[in-house]
Amino acid sequence: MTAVALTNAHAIQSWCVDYVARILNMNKADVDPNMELERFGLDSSTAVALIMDLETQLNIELAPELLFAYPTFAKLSQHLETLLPLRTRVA
Amino acid sequence: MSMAIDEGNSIEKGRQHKRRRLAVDAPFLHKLQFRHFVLFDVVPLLGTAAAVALAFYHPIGWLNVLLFTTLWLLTGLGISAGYHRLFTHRSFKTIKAVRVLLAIFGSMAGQGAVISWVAMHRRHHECADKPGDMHSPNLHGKHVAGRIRGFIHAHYTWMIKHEYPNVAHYVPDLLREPALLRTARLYNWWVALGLIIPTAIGAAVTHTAMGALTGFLWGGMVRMFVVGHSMWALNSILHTMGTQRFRLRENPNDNSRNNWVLGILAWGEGWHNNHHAFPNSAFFGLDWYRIDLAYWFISLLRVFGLAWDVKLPTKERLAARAAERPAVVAEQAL
Repeated sequence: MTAVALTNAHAIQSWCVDYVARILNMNKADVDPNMELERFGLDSSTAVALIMDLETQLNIELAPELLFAYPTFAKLSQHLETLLPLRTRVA
Repeated sequence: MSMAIDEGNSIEKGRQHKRRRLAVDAPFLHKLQFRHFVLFDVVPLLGTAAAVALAFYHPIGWLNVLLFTTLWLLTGLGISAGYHRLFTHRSFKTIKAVRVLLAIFGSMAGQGAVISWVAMHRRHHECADKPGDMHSPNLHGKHVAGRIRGFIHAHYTWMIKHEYPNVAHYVPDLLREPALLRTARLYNWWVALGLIIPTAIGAAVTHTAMGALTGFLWGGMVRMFVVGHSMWALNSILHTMGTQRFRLRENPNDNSRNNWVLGILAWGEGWHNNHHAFPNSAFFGLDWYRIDLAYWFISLLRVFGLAWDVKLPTKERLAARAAERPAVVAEQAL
């Protein structure tokens, strides 16, 4: 996967939407960032894949169970933005 | 196979490179592993005990033998030709329908969804008999007690709780294949289907509840038990004893072995040392006289034009590998 600058919640969210759209073979437009991920049918192995790829993209160690605490992409990406080093963050 | 550590993914200049984690642990994953172990590894053991006990009162009929053999063959080929040779090692190419079918038959064996199985198996090759190998019998000490503990771990108990490999790192190819991911998501349903089919056939043919029960036990439980133990024997027995035709230069710890009995009984998987020497070869037997059922199946697919680019080592490569010796002395077992 090519490295992209994930510097704010919006960019992280759209990266996540792209990711599950590819994994689940859906249109990006149909991936609602406010919908609970479970309802898309993401299983544990693909959920771990998403978190592990995000970890590499953001260069921050993430817990595999993060999606339990932040079950939508909107919540997840807002949380991840707060973890970004200050100098990287672009609002 | 990927390098052990991937350091090329830093997103910004000047920031510290971070090592990509190769495996993770999390309570929710351990809970899933425990549930899977009980349902698909312990229950078939109990089911097999019940089937054997029942056989004393109600003799095994031809239908039970037929159901067992057919499903043993289909799910065994799903694991050996599908999960192992096609998905893990990409040792041949085939059409999408065959990929999905092999993934379904492999799922019915109850050894995990294809994504996880392949990720774990690629990690096993990378770390064979070294820390990181989830099911090595050789990392529990050299004394008798340690050998026995290691053997039991490698065969069975490692599945109760284990590290989960970084799937994004180990199986990026499968994560780009929506049809396969869809099949993997339905994993539990495929296992259930593998139990429903023999039960339904048993009921339909005999019109008795006993026919349904023995169909379930022999075509479902005993079959899962036998297929499971055949594969786990590779981890336990074939990393402990058997002949070692190849000593791998790149990993002196690799203790994979060949055994002709398991070669015959486990769809060719018993030529395990050959396989560690040539992981990408579709043919584990490497010579015609070593029985390799899954390779015969792949050859059959090829005859019908359904398999191509079937990978086999050249004669030169075989000779060079046989002459190899480990570059350094094996690390002390932990």
